[in-house]
Amino acid sequence: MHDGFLTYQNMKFLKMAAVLCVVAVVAYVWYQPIDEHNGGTWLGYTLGTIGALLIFWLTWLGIRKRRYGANFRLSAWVSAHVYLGLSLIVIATLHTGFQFGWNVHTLAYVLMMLVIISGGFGIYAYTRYPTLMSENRRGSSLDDLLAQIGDIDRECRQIAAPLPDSVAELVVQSCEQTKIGGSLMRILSGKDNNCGSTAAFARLRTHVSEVEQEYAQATRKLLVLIGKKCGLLTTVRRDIQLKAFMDIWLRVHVPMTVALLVALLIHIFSVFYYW
Amino acid sequence: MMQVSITTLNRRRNGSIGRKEDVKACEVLRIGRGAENEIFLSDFRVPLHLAELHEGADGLFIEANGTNDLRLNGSIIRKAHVNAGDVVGIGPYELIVTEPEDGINIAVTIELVHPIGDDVESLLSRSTLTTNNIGLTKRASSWILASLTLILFLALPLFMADTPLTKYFGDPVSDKTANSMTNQNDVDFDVSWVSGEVMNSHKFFANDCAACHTKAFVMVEDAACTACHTKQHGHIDKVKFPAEELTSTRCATCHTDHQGPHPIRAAKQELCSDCHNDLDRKVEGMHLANVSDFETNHPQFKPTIWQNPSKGIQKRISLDENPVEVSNLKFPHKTHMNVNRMRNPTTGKNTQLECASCHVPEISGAYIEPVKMEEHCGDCHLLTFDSIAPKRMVSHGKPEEIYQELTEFYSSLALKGGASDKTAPKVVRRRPGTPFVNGEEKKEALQWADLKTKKAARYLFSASQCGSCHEVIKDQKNASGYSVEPVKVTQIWQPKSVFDHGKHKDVACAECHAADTSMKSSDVLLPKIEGCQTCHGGEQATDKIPSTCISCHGFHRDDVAIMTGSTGKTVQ
Repeated sequence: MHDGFLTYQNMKFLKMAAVLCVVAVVAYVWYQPIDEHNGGTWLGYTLGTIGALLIFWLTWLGIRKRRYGANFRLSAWVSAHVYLGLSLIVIATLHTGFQFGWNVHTLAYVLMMLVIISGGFGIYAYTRYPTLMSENRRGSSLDDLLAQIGDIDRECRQIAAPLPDSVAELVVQSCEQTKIGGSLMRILSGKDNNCGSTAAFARLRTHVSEVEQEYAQATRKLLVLIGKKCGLLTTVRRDIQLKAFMDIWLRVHVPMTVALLVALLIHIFSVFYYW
Repeated sequence: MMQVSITTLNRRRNGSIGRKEDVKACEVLRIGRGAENEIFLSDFRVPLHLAELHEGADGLFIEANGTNDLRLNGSIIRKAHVNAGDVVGIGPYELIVTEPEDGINIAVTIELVHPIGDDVESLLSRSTLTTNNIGLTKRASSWILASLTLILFLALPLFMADTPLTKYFGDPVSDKTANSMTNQNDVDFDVSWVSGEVMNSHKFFANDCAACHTKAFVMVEDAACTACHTKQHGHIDKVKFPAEELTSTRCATCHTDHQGPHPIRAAKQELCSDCHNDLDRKVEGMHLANVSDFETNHPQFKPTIWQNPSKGIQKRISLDENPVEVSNLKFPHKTHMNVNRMRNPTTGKNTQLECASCHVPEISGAYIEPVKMEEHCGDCHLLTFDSIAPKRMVSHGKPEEIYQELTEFYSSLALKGGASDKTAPKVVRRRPGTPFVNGEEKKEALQWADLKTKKAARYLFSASQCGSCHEVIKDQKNASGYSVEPVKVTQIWQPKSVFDHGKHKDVACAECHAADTSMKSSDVLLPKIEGCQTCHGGEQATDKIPSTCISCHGFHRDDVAIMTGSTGKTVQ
């Protein structure tokens, strides 16, 4: 996928969306309603109808493009979804006539904007993060990285066995108080301020000069290993952070879309109920 | 060549141990991940060529290749002698040197003591690598959001609020009281359906949506407006002029609500000009001129001007035709604005009059109060009539009333006596209060009074007094012998439009009204449309004040039937 959907067919859908927006803006400027610009003028009804149809269609596209095996080009659907979705910012805003309030009508608009903003983040994530993830992992897989960390833990334990308790407890801390991810915020932060390995590394670095001569070599070896482990942990945390960002926007995008559909139908129903 | 016994232990999941013994002949026992090694350790964590085991003169000797290191009984080593019973850690493997059997030079047991995944699994058990299982799933949050929206914004407004739907199922008890124009005005669940702020004048029932939205899925009907606006008049007689544009227009076409606090009335001039720009072609014999834009297509002002006040005749005459007003009043503005001519007869001082000396705005500021003789003229135009009573004045009224006042004044003086007039008969000049000696005296006194009354009346009704302003004619039918032609000064020159003097108060009067050169009250001192057009343009004007039809004209006309009248008949 990468950025294929953005440039699909020489940006056919970008051009379509741009034309739609320009026509809408020109019509808005040209049309002088009897009273004020709002959703109830004939231009308001027209823009509202276009906007509602776009929303229904785009939602259907979102479902459709996840069905594999059908006879369609994935990048075509995504391209249409992205560009026509963005054009809704113009269409729907002009439909409102810039009249907002604490009501179900503005609720539908706000939900739509949240869907579009989260979708915008999705575009960014899907175009940018796969590259960042590859660069971050430098060719290894996540499993490779985890195996290397596990290996270092084992090796540390073996090395630390005959060492004094003051060193051994740092190895235990590194091995048993390190975790990756955790809460949503921690995954998204890509960091862990309570990382056992980082803490152990810091303490070991000051401690290495204090150990007795006969353990010095083993301790230095441990320092190197735990340092390497910290590097690997940073890479792994960055990897799952980027992966989480690629997933998380859909957790806003999809429920907000569903809420938007409901609010939109209520909006349409209510304005004609109280015509 | 030495014989080596390699026993590989394989710990199974159920706890049993698998044993596989291999005997190889070699010079050096090589250990590593490479297949050519005698001890071939398949785990990827082991380097290709890790170490070698030799048999030397003084026993077994193990040496790591390159920068690799080994653990001999827990200590990190690069090379060391090994004896039976020693445990050598090679990466995740443990190599135990055992006593060789006969014919065997070296015997080792090898076991993978730290299979890959152990530490990884313990790390993973503490970790969360994806966000998939954190918080609500997309499906769950979709359901929650959708349900909340549905309940709060559809179900509650539709079924719990006092809407046409609930009215349809059962008319709620009306709490409309005699003092209230509306039902309840409490905030209801359908407040979330309000599309915008209601205009201020409707806020006292704004929460009662059904007050206007009487039928579901039907645009607000005029009946909802006229239920309260009972006195609003229409624009034309719909029976005489059943124009499609007017008969199909709803109140809400022009008066939309939910557009903010200030009342909306459609001001677009095309709403008027659609009909009015070619009325002559639309209606045969149309007396109204075509109009479409104040600046480019608007007829000259045609004020309504008195032509014959005695017969009550007024006429609309274009200012281009230099109309003359017949008001029966003589008044030269120019003279009154000349300070040299304005000497107050009481004080003897000259005064510069200003417009506002006589023309005072009424309380709204829009119109000018009528000029009143007593207030505005009476200081100088004293209605005195006799030097024997120099401060005594008659009222400004009808001739017969004035004559009556004179009669009463002189009769009273004659009957009381004590008149200072030297020419008066003796009886009138007798000591005041002295009774008449006989009837002859009384008759003589009253004859004098009658004579003086007539003289004073002649004086008052002469051209120099009443006649200086009024048209006085001799009229024997009137007791006074005179009558005054009725004065009709136009109050509202252009009754079909609104001109607000208050809004123009910063403009000098003389900018529009050329009073300082007018010598006759018949001059119509109104500005022509060109005067207004110096500041006001049409709706699309960019260099002038954009002024639409309803800037000056109203749509609803008081002389047309009220909006509720289905017949559309003119009331008059």
